[in-house]
Amino acid sequence: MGGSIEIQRPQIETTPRDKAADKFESGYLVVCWNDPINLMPYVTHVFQTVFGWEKSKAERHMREVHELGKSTLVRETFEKAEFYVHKLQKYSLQATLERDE
Amino acid sequence: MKLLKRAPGKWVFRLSRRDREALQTTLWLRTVLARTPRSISSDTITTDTLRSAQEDLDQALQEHRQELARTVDELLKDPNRCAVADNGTCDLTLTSDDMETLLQALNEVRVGAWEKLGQPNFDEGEVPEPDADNLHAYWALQLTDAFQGLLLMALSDED
Repeated sequence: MGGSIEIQRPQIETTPRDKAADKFESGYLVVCWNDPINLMPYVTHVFQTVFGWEKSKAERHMREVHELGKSTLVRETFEKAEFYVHKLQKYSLQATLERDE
Repeated sequence: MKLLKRAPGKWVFRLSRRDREALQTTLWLRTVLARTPRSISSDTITTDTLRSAQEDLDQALQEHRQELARTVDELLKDPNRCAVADNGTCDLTLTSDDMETLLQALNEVRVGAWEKLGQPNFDEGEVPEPDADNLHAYWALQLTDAFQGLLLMALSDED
């Protein structure tokens, strides 16, 4: 057992960050904008349904939308943010995803 | 339209003949109130990722609207869920999924009507002059307000 063993380490290739990697970082915000035609209880209901929030949290975001013109709802990966935007837009809420700079 | 019975995840509403006709006509207005395309992002779309995401959103919304129309149509024509009596009244039985479908369909009409009126901010006193071209949009706003309000109240009682 006296001989030494040469361990060959795997070559790890490093590549520059690509766009695909960006999509898996939680760097995207889901923003809901105010359309002053949506009923306030409707917006609250949609937030509760889409995000599973308590009513009080949903109402807080609904008021932000109503009073400030927009509310940032969640910070997520690109794909999850896109999923939430689709869900909100299916309720005809004006939702977008924004890169969190 | 009034709430007749409620059980967990299930609601029964009684609609008079006029309620039923009003609901059907309101939902039908989706076909004449064109919707403005919606953006995936408030940023100018300059990357391939966002361009592709915008296309996905456009397609998803188009498919969703077709699905909504089909589901609502089936719901209102299904005698087991929309039982019409001889006097024209109807007992409409809705599950949680049906409630969401109806809320989405009604809001589709509501936002479409608002866009037809030029997206006014009524809270700030912007009230476009009613005329023959936009009267149906005002009518849709009144009716969606009433129907959505009732559905939301029924849902809220369940909280």
